[in-house]
Amino acid sequence: MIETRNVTKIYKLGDTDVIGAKEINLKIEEGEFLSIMGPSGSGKSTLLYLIGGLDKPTSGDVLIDGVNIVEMEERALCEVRRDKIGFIFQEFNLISTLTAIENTLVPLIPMGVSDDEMERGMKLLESFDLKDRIDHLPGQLSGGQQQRVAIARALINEPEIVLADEPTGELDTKSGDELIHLMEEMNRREGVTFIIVTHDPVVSGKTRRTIFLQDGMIVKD
Amino acid sequence: MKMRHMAYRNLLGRMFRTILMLLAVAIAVALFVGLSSLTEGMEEMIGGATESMGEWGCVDAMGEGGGIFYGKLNGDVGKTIDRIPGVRYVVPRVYAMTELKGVELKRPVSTGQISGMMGEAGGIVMEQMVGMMGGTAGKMLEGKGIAELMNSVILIGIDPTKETIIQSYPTKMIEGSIFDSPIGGAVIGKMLADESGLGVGDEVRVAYGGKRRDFNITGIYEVGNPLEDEGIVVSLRDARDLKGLGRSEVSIFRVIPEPHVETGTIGMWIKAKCRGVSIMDQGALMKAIGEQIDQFKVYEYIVEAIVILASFGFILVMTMRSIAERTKEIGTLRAIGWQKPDVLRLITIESTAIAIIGTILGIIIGILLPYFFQAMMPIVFPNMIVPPMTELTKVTSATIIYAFIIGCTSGIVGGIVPALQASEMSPVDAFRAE
Repeated sequence: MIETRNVTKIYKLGDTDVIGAKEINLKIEEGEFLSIMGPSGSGKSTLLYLIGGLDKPTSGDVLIDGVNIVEMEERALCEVRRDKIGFIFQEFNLISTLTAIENTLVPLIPMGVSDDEMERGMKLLESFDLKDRIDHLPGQLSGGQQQRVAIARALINEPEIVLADEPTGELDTKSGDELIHLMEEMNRREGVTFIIVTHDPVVSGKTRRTIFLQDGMIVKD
Repeated sequence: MKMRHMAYRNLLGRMFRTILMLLAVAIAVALFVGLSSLTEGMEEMIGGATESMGEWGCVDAMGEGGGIFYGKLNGDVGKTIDRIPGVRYVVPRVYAMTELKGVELKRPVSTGQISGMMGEAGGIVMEQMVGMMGGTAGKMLEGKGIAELMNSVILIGIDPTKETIIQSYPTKMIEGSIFDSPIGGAVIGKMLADESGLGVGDEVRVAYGGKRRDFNITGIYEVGNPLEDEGIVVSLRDARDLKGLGRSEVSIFRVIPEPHVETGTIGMWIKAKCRGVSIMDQGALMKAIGEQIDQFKVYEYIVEAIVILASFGFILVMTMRSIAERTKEIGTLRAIGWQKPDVLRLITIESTAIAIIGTILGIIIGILLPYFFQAMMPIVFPNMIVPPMTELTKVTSATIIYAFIIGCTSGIVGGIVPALQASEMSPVDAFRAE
């Protein structure tokens, strides 16, 4: 379970304070399929990064399975990100020099990739209709295919939570629909919690819960 | 899949940048190896020349005005010198600029090139070049055209018994042995053997002026001084006969002082005791050349330091640019659970691979550089005399080891500094930087 308690994030932009998140209190249960909506600059990505431990709040706590990740040391936080959380980015963020299967396995590389993990990566790509694209570089894949590789990478460690930042932002409608369908299926089949940042009502319409943000605050849940 | 596999893929995937960084390391290392081997080679040459003169240095006494090739001294002069206090040995020698008939010498500079550049400038270059190789350059050049000189062979007439005492030619045989007959025997230097194709057992016809004499080659010597190693050594009697000298006449007396007696002191004694004798203090000459080499080494160190610093700076800038372009990639890696040391390890492996490959490449280029220059110079500068670069340079194991240390250190450190910066970046900062 994910819980945020009075989470506030203030950025410094020169002499100006910019509020990224303001006293956000939120509870997300295991297995939820949730979207965060709001206009540009409303703090959607900020909230996602705070939940994912990529950024520290100015004040407040973020708890994952009851453990406050705000107080965690860098090393432990890395382990949480590696073992419990998967990330999907709007621009896919694949490593351009690595093939689809290598990109899928990237989170495991520092520990060395076992044969079992390699097989799991293959199966993930196969289940995402990328069997024929396993040895292709990102530049040789379509946007939809690249984002599916990014999902495979997010799922390789069998995380409890997947955080997706505008995952359909760079895709055409058809590819976007397929991607949301894929995430829905993973949520239903594997029970993975999905938190999707989007400003596309079609995407949010497919999630079971939607949180609306404005000026860093939750205005509707 | 392991970290090094990913590093390898990154290097191949960014080929242009990889090649640029490899070149930066390789050029620095190649220049280091090239310059170091040139200094080492020149030092060895000076060392060889000094060694060939004996342990304590020596003084050459010769006829005033004529030098070693055209001057002559009477045997009485030798006896006078022998009585000077502090003189240990007096060794007579006859020198002549001769020609080998029917033998084509394959020297680094062809006759055609030399003919094209006869004249003052060429003379100066030649004199400097020969000056580096041995102490008798100035005298040797007297009265000879460059082309003639380059096709000439120095004939040295010796007394094998006395030369054995001062550990000269008879003790430096690398093949065969010194001639045992005072007539018709000869030994040749290794360089001459290489250039002429002559070997032990061959006959060679030597011409001096209008005279010709045939010699049977009984051995090949190597003393380490290129001028002497390019010569032919015969008995005093044969040399006198060929040159038309009288029974006791010689070109020079090589005077070896007692241990700890200065060659300069002996030189002054000779000048005082013998009329019409000029002195060449080989010890002082070698010392002066040695000082020149030391000076050259200082310049070499400065150039090497500049090259290495420039290379280090280039690698640093290139790696930093590479890291800046990979900010999002590094942020992504950190976001998906890579620890700071993991990022550092990846970039360090990449830098190390570039450093090692670049260094090896640089060492190979550095070793081949003299051959390249020797081949290219006649094409680029057809009227210029090309020094025998491959013989002037010597690559030692110490040079290779230093080159390896310098190349690898600059490559790795140049990569690690930006890698440390990159690994410290938080994922969000990395995304924002994009």
